[in-house]
Amino acid sequence: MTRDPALGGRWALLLIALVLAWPLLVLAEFKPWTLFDERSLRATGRFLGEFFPPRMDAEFLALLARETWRTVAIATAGLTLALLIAVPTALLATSRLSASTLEGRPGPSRWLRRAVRALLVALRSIPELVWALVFVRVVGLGPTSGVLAIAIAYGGMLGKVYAEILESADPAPTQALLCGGSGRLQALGFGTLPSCLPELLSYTVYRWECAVRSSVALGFVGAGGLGQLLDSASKMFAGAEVSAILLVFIALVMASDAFSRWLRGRLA
Amino acid sequence: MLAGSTGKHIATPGRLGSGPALGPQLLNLVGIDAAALGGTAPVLHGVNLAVATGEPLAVIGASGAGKTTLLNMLALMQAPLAGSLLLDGADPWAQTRRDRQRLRAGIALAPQHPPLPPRQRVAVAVLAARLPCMSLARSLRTLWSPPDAPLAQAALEQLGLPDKLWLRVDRLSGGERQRVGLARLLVSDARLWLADEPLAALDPTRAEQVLAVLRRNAAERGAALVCSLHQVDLALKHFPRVVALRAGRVVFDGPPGGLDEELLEELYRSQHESPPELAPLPQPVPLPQAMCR
Repeated sequence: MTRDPALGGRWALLLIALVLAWPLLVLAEFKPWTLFDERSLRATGRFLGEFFPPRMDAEFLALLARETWRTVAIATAGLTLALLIAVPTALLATSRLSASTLEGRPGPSRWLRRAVRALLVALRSIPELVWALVFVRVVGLGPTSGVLAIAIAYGGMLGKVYAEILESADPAPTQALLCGGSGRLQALGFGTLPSCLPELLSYTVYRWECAVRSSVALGFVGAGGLGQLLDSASKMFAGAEVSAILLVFIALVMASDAFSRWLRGRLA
Repeated sequence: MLAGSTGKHIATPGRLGSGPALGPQLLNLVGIDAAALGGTAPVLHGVNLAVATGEPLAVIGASGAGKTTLLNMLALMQAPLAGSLLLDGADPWAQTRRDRQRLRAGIALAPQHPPLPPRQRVAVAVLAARLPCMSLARSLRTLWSPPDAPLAQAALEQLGLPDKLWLRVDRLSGGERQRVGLARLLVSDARLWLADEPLAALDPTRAEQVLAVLRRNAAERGAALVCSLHQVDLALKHFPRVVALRAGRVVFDGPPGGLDEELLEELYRSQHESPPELAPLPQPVPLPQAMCR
């Protein structure tokens, strides 16, 4: 009578997960102990040893500052364009604002939602690196291809997550407004956004941080910014420059973290 | 059995003549079967109910009798399973979704648990009831800073909340939240007000005041007021017409004078005639002494 009806299912799921994980680890050649054999440790130590002290002369710092600014610009412009993709698609993809779900009968609009979700999957399943390689061919070397690559891949991610954040909020206020005869955008603004806004904003700031980081990878294929600098520094085995660039990344991420915390504090 | 006695309690349509002068018919329900929101099993069975424009009426009945389902159906939240529901003589569920959404603008429902976003300011939460008659530009302005704040303040003052306008909803107590939910009715442009247990979180004195405010405002605006209530005494005292539900059926519909003790008792008698024999609660296993330190 008081036996937990969910218990059997939970054990089964755990068992299945373990059984599935084993071949996956074998397939991924997961051998963490090779990290700790003597040869690897020596190579790692030598590389890390060159990191100190980071290069700090005026000429390099000026270059670093300019490329940092360019990286921030790539990430910000890319994310802004991504928002242009993500906001409308999220509104189309979320079932929360659909009057047909309110009335309990799925209408034809669910096909539109599925199509939009499929489009978002396509946008984000191709890594931004591949988009960058494509755009480097089209618009040439430089930041533009980085911006476009981030815009498309991140548009797909943001659209999906925005739609899910909107669906995770308490549906009652939105449905009450829809049921009171208000329009969908009005119901969104007065019923859904008040509870979702902090999460939406902090996710957006986190994505900006990711865009800063992924602009490194994009720099490796010639999309400009700190990534390109890091690419040339590591090719020339200039460990001091590499560490200086990495310090800038840490500072950027810390800044975005502080900004996000401040924003959440303001809205909480 | 109640079913046999049903006929004698339901007043004939002539009943309308005895009350105050009422307008033309607003709602007419005939033989309605309806399920709870999201459900498929009928909760209401063969409900007949006519509501005139501007008519106040109270719906009473035990928990689970179908009061909320009835109100949700009047709010056009869910189509009935069977029977006919006419609003202004037309079936809303035969119309297009767009037209139905327009009809919903004329109906305001205050659910028992007010659906207010916790982070929203009271002023905005109240004025959200006016969204159907606001342009998108004006609603954006309201989100930024509500130009109709005096309207919300007037409604809140009537309900005894003069100093809550700019507070966030999550700073309010349960009773205050419920009155903010009712303030939505007062500012709305609707001509059918539905209040589901509007007094559930209020103390007795406050409950009387709030009910009087609802009745007065609905009368002034010519809005029909359908109020589901647990407090039978208040329903009898404040409403010229009472509809009693039992197990999803209307068992009484008429002026409160027609409700006798016997019927009331039957309304609220539990489905089980006597509570089942309860086994004593098992004692928790005592923890070893060492774990309690």
